[in-house]
Amino acid sequence: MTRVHQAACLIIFIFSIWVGVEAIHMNYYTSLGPGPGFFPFWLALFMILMCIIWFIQLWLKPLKGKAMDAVPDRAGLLRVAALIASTAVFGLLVEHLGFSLLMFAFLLFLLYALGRQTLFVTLTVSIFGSFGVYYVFTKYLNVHLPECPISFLRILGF
Amino acid sequence: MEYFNDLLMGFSIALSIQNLTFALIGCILGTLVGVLPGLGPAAGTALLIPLTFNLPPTGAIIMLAAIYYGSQYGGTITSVLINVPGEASSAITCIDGYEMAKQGRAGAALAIAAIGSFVGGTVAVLGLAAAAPLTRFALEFGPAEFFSLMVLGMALVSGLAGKSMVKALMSAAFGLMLGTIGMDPAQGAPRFTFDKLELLDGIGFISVIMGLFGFGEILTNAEEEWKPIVTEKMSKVMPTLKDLKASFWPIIRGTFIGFFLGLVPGMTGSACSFSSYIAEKKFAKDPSRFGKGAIEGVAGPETANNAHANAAYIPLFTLGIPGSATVAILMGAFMMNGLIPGPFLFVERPDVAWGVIASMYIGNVMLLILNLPLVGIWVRILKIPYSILFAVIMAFMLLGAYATDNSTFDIMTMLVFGILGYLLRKVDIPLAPAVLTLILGPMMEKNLRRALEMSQGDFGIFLESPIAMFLLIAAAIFLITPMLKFLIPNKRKKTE
Repeated sequence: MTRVHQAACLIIFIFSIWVGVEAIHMNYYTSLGPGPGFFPFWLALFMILMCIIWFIQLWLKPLKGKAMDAVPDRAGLLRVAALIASTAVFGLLVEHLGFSLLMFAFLLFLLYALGRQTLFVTLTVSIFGSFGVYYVFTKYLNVHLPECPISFLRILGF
Repeated sequence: MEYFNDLLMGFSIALSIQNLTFALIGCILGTLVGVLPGLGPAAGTALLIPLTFNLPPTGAIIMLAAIYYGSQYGGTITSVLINVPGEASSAITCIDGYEMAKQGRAGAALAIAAIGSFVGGTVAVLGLAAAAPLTRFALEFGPAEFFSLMVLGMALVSGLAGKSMVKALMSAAFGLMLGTIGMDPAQGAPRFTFDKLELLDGIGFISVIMGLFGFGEILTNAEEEWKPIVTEKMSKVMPTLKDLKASFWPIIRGTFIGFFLGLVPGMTGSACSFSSYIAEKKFAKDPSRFGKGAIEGVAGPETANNAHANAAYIPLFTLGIPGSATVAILMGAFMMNGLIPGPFLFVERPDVAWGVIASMYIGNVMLLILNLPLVGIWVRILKIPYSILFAVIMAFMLLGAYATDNSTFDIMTMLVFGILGYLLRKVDIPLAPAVLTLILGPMMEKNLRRALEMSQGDFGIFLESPIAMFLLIAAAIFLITPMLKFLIPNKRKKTE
């Protein structure tokens, strides 16, 4: 596990250096007082200091367990990857395919493929979770959601 | 007398049909959030913010506040019936609550928890109303004092969160960094925006929180096979006279422990319930009963965590400092509605401040009345497999992220922060300090820069003000003490 923590520490360390460098390129001090770069610069320095302390702690007192303990089994990894991928696809397509239609497909995938639910449960939850939610939020809560491009469904209010 | 009149005005607002409905919906949703394992109050509150988008500000805050304290009631149900805490502060209740359920006394455990939560919550709200005059003192604060106060708040949060102070401070600094994204508060210069228009107003806190707490949690849960939930059978709901007598002092002690610890920013509900459990064990004539179904082990902690949830609003309302991640989210909701929580709220929008405070009294009564008859319904909801619930939660998160600004950018932000939250959990970096500082960061920077502009760059301004100096010294003590604790035993070992 020490390796995993060291890797995380290194990534945060590099990120903090990047923040610090970016902050230097902003105005550190102006005639009015501290500039836009002042606060992020000191934050980056503080974060770098914390990373160094963390690294020393890991060096003085290594953690128990193997690095692979942090990684889930194959099935777990697939579920995590599928969730990330499906959420990304939803974000990319929602404005093109409309909320209700895409949410319906999204829920079908989550419930049937990942949740291993029966077709009846999958369809019931998917219909209520997509078309039902769209109807309630747009009609009663005045929340704007992308419309469905299929004219037939759009006429029905979806 | 002036404050009593204000409180009466608050009741007249909170008792309107509209606001009563919002409080009722908030209580029910909050209990649901507490009941569902894997959905904590922070994620739950963030998830439900979209429901309040088109509500009037007072109604929106009443509903969100009810969701938070309602979740404290709900967490008990799963602790008692399935030995899984609905949220962290109810974890200690599993020990004796579940034992009571196995002995067929689940109803008594839940009833005592509800009564204790009501007493603890109501006393804490009384304390909140009584603390309102403190806002006069806070109105005297200038930028230097406010900055120092925020430093103290952050020191407390970082000192108390998680196992490692270094990691908590890193999390706090990360939240502050996120807070610098967008237009610079003094000169309007864009910072870390990557030429994205969506980032000019800063990073959307709802999508960040939903990602870190909600999506991150779902990804963590997705690693394991989802197992069906088995609940213990419910017996009669009403506790016996013996149960009530045994719970009297634990409820009183739990109220005080939860209330006073709730005033400390960064003190978690779980720390309060744990402290209360330890106190009850110490006060017990026969401590060996604990862990075998002692009702005191349910009454004390459950009272303490609800007193804490309500008392945590005191620093927010009096000083504008959120004491926990969920209260920070609520503070964000205030800001989304154009309100700045803190001493000025009582001056500028007394209707909101007192309306919300009064609604908390009513909400606690509602929860007491609602919870016992509704236990059966919550148990049925618990039987819905997680493999269905996670999909519904995902749908709400995507809806909430999109609806914040009608932008897919927020969905992507949620996705990125979800992955980040998942990875940060792997290396035990606590997320609560980041949320707190994300909300407080822009205000902290604004006050720091204002103070330095006033002093023409002289940091001595923080030492000239006795209040600022006191607050900074207190912050330093809170940060240094844990390090000293770490060093002292080593010295002892060496001398031995």
